[in-house]
Amino acid sequence: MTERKSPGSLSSSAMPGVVERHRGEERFKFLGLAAILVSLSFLAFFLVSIIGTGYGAFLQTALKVEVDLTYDSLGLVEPATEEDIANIRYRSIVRSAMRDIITEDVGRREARTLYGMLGAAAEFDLRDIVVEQPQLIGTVASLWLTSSDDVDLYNKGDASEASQLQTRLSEKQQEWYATLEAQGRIKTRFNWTFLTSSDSRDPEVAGVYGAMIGSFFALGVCLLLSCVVGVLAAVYLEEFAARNRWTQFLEININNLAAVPSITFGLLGLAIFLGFFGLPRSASLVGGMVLALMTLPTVIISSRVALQAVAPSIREAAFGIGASRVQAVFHHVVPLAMPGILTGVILGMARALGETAPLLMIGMIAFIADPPSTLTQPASALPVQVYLWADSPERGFAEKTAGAILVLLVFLLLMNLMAVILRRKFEK
Amino acid sequence: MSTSSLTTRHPNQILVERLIRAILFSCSAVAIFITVGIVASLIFEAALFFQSVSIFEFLFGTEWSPQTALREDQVGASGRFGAVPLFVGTGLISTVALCVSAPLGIFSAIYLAEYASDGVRSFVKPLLEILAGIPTVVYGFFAAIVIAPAISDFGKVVGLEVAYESALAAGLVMGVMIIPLISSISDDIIKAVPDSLREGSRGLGATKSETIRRVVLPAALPGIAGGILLATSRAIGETMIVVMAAGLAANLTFNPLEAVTTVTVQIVVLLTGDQEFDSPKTLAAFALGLALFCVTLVLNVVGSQIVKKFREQYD
Amino acid sequence: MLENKLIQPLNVSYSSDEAGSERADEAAKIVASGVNVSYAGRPAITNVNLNIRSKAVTALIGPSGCGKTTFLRCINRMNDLIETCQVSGSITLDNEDVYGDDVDVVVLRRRIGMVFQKPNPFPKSIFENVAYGPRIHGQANKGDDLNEIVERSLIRAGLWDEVKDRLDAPATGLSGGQQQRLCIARAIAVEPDVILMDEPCSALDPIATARIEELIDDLKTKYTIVIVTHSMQQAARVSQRTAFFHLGELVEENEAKVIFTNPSDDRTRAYVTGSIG
Ligand SMILES: Nc1ncnc2c1ncn2[C@@H]1O[C@H](COP(=O)(O)OP(=O)(O)OP(=O)(O)O)[C@@H](O)[C@H]1O
Ligand SMILES: [Mg+2]
Repeated sequence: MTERKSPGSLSSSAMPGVVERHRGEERFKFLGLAAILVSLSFLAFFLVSIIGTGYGAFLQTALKVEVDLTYDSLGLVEPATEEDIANIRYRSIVRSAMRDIITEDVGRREARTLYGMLGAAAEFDLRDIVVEQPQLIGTVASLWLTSSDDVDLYNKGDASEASQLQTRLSEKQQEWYATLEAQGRIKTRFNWTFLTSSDSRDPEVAGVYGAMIGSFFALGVCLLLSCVVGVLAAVYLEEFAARNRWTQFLEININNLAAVPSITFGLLGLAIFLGFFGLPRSASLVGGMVLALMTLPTVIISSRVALQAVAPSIREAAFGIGASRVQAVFHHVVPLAMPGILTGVILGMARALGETAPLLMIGMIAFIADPPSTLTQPASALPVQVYLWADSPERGFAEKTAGAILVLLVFLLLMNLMAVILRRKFEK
Repeated sequence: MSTSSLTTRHPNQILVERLIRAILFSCSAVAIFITVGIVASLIFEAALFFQSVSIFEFLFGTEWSPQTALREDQVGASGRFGAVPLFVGTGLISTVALCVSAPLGIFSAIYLAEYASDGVRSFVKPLLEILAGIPTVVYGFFAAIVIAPAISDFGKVVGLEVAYESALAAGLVMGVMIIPLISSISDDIIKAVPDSLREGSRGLGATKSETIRRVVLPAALPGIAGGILLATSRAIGETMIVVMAAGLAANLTFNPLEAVTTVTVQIVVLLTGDQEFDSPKTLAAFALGLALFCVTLVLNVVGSQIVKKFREQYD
Repeated sequence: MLENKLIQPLNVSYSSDEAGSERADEAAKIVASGVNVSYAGRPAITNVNLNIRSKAVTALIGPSGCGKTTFLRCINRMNDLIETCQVSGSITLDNEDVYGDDVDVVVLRRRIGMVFQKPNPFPKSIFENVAYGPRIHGQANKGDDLNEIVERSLIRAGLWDEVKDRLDAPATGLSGGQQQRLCIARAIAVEPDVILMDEPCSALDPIATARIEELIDDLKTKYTIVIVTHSMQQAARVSQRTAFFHLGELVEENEAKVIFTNPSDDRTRAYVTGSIG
């Protein structure tokens, strides 16, 4: 046996610089981890700030007032007809209800500011309630009505000092607010208006319903076009086309099209659909067509992948029992590839749902107060609504913008979940 | 359906098959039509524009003020159409975006490909992908409402003058959006570097990070560069973030703290006003669109070619 | 698996060196005792005891899947890179346990170099490939020192004359045989004591193989070499000691001549005459 070398000749201390190199190893690994953490913290910060701003859009402040609906004060005789109800002057009823609560003497000017605490939304509320429950006529009803936007923001901002300073309520209004609050006349409730009404100049009555319908129409058109054309094109390329120059050219073309900036498709839509074919501006039909152009390459590519995943033996088996190529493909291959194709289509639709720029190009940027009822009517879309509200100087709209973003994100989440579930199933 | 006899098929059936094939073929040709449509409409409208504004002024002029009418009556004299400030602004914001996304994306990819366990990988990758799935209008809102004021305030604190609509704010947020694009391409590329190279380096006594830095990354560099070209194309073509967070005025500057405007912003500005279709202002948007299309096309073709070559190299 | 010509009786000249037989217990550079390796609980080699001579070539032979590579990679702990791999028993290098607590694999692998089955030059220049090891280990960073190391290593690997005019050319442009010699140059550039070679010629043509064999013969004056090979002729030509592995066991280890002409185990005999494998 040779004698034992000095112990530890294989240890870190046996070579200069090794300890430092191991430290470098840790540092490098940490850099990678840090990059991921920074990226993910952007995501977290982003979601937190959107949710933090946006959840308020789903809440609204309501004031409880006693509304005098007796025949006397309405100046009606029993029984009230539908026409009577439609003609009731709700504004003055709401105003006098406010006067009844705040008993102190107020001058004309101050009265204005008092009425300002219940805005236009309160009148609509009252009308809706009365139309729905005509039996209230003849009574003095105690009702919760939507407050004005300023009161709403004041309430949601709670007592934090910053919002006290920023509030647009006058000192007098703040006093009244305190009185109302002391009497238990203020509450925060879920804001159905946000989901059931359309765009408005008043933040307290503005909602995303119209935009949702617009997006729904446009996506419907987009789905129909891109799904049919895209899947058929993929079937052609995968199952029928010979491998020649032409298909190669098509392939390169499709891949490049998938990476073209989305705004370019808007320009195309503007020049061809509006300029050349004279289709109506701002229509969800044109929006859907433009979105279809944009998603088509993605749908083709993902459908081809799904078709490729179908085992060749399926085709051979179909040919073996005498099926023609068309029969083999449409009876056997396409159904098997369907989950994969659908996954791709859904993801394409999700992208289309969030797309804004091409829609701006074809004029979907106008203020539209009513949901569209046909495909050719001027319409808005969810992301466009986000853009419009984000541009609005009124403070109440910041909250609405974030709220609309949340609605958009929920839809995207649902679509992606669907895709994930489909893919899971597909993989089994 | 398949009741035909053994030897002959019903002529109708053959006809139907032919018809179906024809339909399928035309569907696949739609993709070509779209490309042709894009190119034709852009070139057509841009050609009209270049009848009134010289292409030389457009490409090399340094003053962009389409709004100011010099003389109402004169065709094409409604403003100045030198697009250089737009090109520079686009470049500036894209550069900021890449400065954010390239290091974050590449380092994330390194960690995911080389260090992370399968569990972490399958958890983190989809999370990063979320960043790519968020609509750009949402990023735009975030940039305009949260990031821009924060940067501007921070500038005040440290005594720097930062424009409210600084290139920095828009670029930063755009960079976050592009992180997943770069990280997923880089991750693919790094995974494609053969293990034999890693073993060769480790066998010589190199540590893992030395191996990554000196062997894996240099080997992966061409592929990653291709990925960055694709990301650049994405940044240049991005619209909503810059529309909402970048400026409207065409400043010719390389300072990221100032407000600049971009090609896409100007396209939106020029086309969302109320004006007749054939004014030089609207036509200018198509000229910008043509420039945008050409540049992004070249970046995409070159980028994807490089990435493809890289993959084939190690197949 | 076996080359056809090996089915015939072997008639090669045996490499007979002093290091071969006589001093059996002397100068054991590496001692493996009771080595067991398993992948994810599945045993790959069991209870291997093997002494590896200093400054001699030891060949590991055996049918595919018998654990030669596994054993080889235990010696410089390359198996650490495989998460599912579990090693027990002891392997010593100059009487020091390579699996000891304070062993640094960086130091260990500097002393035990490795050449792989498929030539794996880095996608860098020829010069940079050879300079890689000295650089990372800080043995020389630039200038004349590094040039000298690179030149010396390339000369020793018998590649210098072929590449001296194009040191800056990419290494991937070399022929397979040249690449493998470059990998050997790269391994010896860090001045290791031991070089492990895992089927270094399996991807090469006979002429390139012959050159590498010559090289190995030269190198043994300075280095302890362990080589895995599927070619019995190669083992016979280059090795002084030969170890035969079968189904994860070390069946027999002896002077190369003995293994190939008069093995004591039937399995060895069957393998070297070509009836199993
Ligand atoms: N990374 C690994 N994971 C799991 N099992 C492995 C791994 N590497 C090797 N094995 C298994 O260990 C056993 C020994 O493999 P090893 O590669 O050492 O054989 P070998 O003698 O080198 O074979 P060959 O001559 O084909 O190279 C085999 O059964 C193999 O399947
Ligand atoms: Mg092996």
